[in-house]
Amino acid sequence: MTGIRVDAAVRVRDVVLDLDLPEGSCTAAIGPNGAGKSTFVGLLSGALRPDTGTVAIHGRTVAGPGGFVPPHKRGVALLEQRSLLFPHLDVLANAMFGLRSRGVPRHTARAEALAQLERVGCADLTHRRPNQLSGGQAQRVALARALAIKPDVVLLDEPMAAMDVAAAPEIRSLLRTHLAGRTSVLVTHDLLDVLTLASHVVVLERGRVVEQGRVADVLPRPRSQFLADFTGVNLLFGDLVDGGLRLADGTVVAGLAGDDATAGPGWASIPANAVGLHLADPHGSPRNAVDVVVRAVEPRGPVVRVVVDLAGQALAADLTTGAVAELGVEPGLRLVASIKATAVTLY
Amino acid sequence: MPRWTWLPFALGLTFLVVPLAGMLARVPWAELPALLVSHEAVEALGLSLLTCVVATAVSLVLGVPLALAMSRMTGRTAVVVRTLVTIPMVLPPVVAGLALLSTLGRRGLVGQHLSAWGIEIGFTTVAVVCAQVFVAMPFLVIALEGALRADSGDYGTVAANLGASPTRVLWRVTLPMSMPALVSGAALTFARALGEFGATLTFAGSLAGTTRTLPLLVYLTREQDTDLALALALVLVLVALVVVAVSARFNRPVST
Repeated sequence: MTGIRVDAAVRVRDVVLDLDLPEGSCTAAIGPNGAGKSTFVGLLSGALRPDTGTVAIHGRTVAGPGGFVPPHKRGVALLEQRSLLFPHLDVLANAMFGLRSRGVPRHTARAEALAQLERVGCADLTHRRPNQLSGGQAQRVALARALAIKPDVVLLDEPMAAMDVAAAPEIRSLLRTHLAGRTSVLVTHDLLDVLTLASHVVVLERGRVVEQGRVADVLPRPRSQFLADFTGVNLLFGDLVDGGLRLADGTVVAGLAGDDATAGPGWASIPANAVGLHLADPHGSPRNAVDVVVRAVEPRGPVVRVVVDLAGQALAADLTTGAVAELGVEPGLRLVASIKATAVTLY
Repeated sequence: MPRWTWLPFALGLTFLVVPLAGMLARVPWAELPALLVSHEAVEALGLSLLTCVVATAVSLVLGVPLALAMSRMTGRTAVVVRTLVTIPMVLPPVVAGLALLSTLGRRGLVGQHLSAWGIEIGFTTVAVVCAQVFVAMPFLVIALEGALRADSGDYGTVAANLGASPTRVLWRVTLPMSMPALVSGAALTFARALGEFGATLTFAGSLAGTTRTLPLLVYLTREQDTDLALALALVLVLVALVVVAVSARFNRPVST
């Protein structure tokens, strides 16, 4: 394994991580606030020392029992929410900073920094001061400054979170171009970032890795409530039986089993728009009909999301306002949920 | 703001401005050039300038690392250290002089050992600098520490990740970014050192050419040569004006 290997614990934050990121991949780190995403970034950048375990980048142990490599000797570039351009230096001097710090002669550093600024479309801003730049420009210069050092790893800590709606897509497409083939870690709260930038994903919850793998494998089959919410699907947990998932109260939700589905504990993912709610069993053959109790009702744009209790688990259904009014939906109401079996994925 | 506060405002400002105006009214403007080039005046001016420049330099060399360390401290340690640094600033200067005398003086705690080596500090120009550094350095430290603390080290972290060693971060990022506070703190330190009287008189005495700085000469001549005292006082007022201007110009954080 020549990518990134983290097997380390930071006790005061109750974070214990065990993960592998392949070389050249962009890994999105997602999870609720306080899940350990910043700790993960800190372990890679060198801002944090693990209490136990090791952190290795491209085969080189940067933290562990054998010693600790300080941030300035790691070759890990960091791009944060705030661009943090040095306010006392102009754009060119900012872009040159890393190269000069690494002992690159002035004229070489200047040429490389200019080339890098050119690549992010900021060649005409070289003599501006950071306070004369827009948020998007500043972040592009920060990207040029980070990439100029030819980092082994690029860490992106919500780089678009502070950006206005107009500037974010621009930065996103720049990142897409410049992160290709580079080992990078992207902390984000945005599904779009994961889908457009990342090849791999790590889901953190309460200081632990709950899921990790390729985006194409992990995202369609969430195995944590966080990831299900993140991708906007319902997630039910139970026992996989022939052609369905048996819940705690014995209810069986029929669905389509994936190739890797084996009998035993498993999940069913169900899009919210595949769930219908009725006062009585509608008797449609390809549908599951299960008894549920309404937990909560919340408007969501053109639809109303009704969250119901199904054998102790939450199930969301997106209904039209007309349907909600007709049913007289309110918390505590008993209903029958119909779920299209073809929309249920079992794994 | 209620309208009646204009009255105390006017009274307060008057009280601060009138004494200076009164003094300026009595300055012998015609003889000023002659008074300022008199042997006594030139000697005191030269000595004040020399000692204040040295004291400011020493304050920078010792104070900057002190402020850096303080800005990284938290909790009780930070409170204790900041209190210790602030004490010389608020201490009556004569007490500061006494403290220096009983420590660095001929029979002082440290001074007696220095004496044995043949080093005497008390009543020398070095003593003047010691007194000035003791009372003035805290101004620099407190001003700089505040600025360093506000910057919170995020820029240092970024610089380190770009490959800058801690020393390079200090010289290329931390200090340049706190330059306004550094300049304004140094200006205040210089001004405080220039005005030093009590600690200097107590620890260094008033020996013409060796320890008799401007304020000491003003005090000495205020009765028998009022004109000279007023001329020198004018110089001190002008320096104060320059310091206030410099301090106000630089005491703004760099916009980010």
